[in-house]
Amino acid sequence: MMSLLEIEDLHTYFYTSDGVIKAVEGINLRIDSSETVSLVGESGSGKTLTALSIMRLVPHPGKIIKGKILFLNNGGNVDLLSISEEDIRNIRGKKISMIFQEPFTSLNPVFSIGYQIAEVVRLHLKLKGNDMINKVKESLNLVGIPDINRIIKSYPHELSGGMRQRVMIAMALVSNPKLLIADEPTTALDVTIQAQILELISDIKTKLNLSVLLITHDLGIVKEISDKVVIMYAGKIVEVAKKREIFENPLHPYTVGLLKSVPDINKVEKRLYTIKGSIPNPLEFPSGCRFNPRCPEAMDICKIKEPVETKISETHLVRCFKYGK
Amino acid sequence: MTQGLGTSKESKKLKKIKKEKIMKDRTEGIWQIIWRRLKKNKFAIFGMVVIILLSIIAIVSPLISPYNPYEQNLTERLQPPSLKHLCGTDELGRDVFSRMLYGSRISLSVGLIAVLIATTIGIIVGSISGYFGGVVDNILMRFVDIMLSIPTLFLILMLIVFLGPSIFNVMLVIGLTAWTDLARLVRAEFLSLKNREYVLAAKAAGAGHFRIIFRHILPNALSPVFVSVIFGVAGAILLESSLSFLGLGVQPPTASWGNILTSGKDYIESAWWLSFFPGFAIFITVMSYNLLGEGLRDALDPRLIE
Repeated sequence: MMSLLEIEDLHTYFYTSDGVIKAVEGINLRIDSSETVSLVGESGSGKTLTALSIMRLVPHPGKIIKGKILFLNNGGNVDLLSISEEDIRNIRGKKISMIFQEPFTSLNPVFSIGYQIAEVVRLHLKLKGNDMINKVKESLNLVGIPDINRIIKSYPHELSGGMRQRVMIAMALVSNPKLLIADEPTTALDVTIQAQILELISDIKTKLNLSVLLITHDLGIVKEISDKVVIMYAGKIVEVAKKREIFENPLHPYTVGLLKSVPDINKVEKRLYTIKGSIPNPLEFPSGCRFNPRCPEAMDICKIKEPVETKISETHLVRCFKYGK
Repeated sequence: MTQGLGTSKESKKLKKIKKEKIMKDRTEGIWQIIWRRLKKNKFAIFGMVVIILLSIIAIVSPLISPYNPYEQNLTERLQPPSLKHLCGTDELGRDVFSRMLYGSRISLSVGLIAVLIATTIGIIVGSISGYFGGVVDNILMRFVDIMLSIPTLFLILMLIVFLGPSIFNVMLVIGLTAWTDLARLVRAEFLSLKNREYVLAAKAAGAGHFRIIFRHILPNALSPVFVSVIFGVAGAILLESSLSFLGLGVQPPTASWGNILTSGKDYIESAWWLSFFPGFAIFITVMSYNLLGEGLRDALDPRLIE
């Protein structure tokens, strides 16, 4: 199968007055068409920045300094990092859409829902008048919004969090993109709504033959909808595998730790497991493997050398000295 | 009987509460909210009514003015206010009331157009400065600093001397010197708004800089701009009067409140009406704009809870 998106050796650094923050360093990632890939990691591991790098929206003072992002567009591969500003603008929102964590702040408070979706329709589909309105209604219908004629005229503050996130999804999908990047789409919502939104995303995914890059720190969500799981730690990918492999046979000590920290409803536990310590200061990452100060299985070599990616199987990659160099 | 009356009263009250609740549940547009808050401020409403009245008067002044404001009648020089001449006559026997009606057109339109020019420049400079930041911001803001460090009236006088006094030049010059505060205001708004998530969302949807600045951010920054525009009109009217008083504004025989005042200053002891009426008109207009501006500022302030 041809991959829809292929990230090769992506480096995104921040140049602050305190020094260079190597927020994303050497990421390789592949998303096939109609595949759901989950990007998992703690806050500050570089998940969101990877997504923003794909969109070329890295905030100041960040810069993509190295790498390639190949995207399958109209039958050929384009490198998103080398095309012009105008070309990338035509891909943003049209071929690759993104939804964000906070559905309230992601909608412009001074415009009605209908107006905001219509703007995307006008921009990318070049529709006008009734065609435009119909397209807006169609997309709201797709995401299961009731009473569309009223919602179209409503303002963001009049809708609930779940509704707003549905509107965001409608807006992201109205131009029929190939890839949806969902940056923690359910973190700000309560649990029942979370389930609804996840169900909606996976429904639409099959309907529209969409690929999804889901960014999350919630392994429950990962279990729910992903095909492939990518575990990130401190700007690097530590493990990539099929969903089943990750949950049944986690290899990297960090992945093992993450899975252990999820409470199991079937077990009586006195105290919840935690990975000790916290993510290192990005200005001075530890030498060797970046996880070594927190790793329960750290060896001497981990402090000196950085492990390389080791192939366990065709679909399972890990970056740890336990399994290779 | 009394009990029955009591319950009917109670049910009436209940109905009223229900009705109020329904009214509240109905979605309110931003303008309705602002209007509802503004309505409570009696001073602001007073200011608004006066402004509307003055605007109507200015528009229809040729129809209602009792005399030709330029017609001299030397036999009726310096007449005190009477039923024939409501505000008296000036040193050339012209009817001051008619001149003031015509003058209102000049004063109000100078105020409005000058502010329009200032607002346009201020919004463009402020939004570009705040949105792009960096070197662009530095250059624009240092220019603003330079503008602000020259006394405004002095700057205006210099420009007027250079361009020559005329109504159009007065509007232009006031507009060209009054935009700096607004530019700073808009810049400050942009600095905080440009990092909002909906701006990132708009970028992610493929919007360009121009669209993001004017479609997505600017509408969110408009409420302080409104207030500043209203205050700005008051300031511009005052400036026009000062310029005309100094003889560098609107040139006689065209009537403006400022130059009626000028001709009045020589007769201030013998013909008080010549300076009192235009002075009062300026006072009431500027005060009305200021009252409305203040009311609008409160109505637009989301931190003030009703």
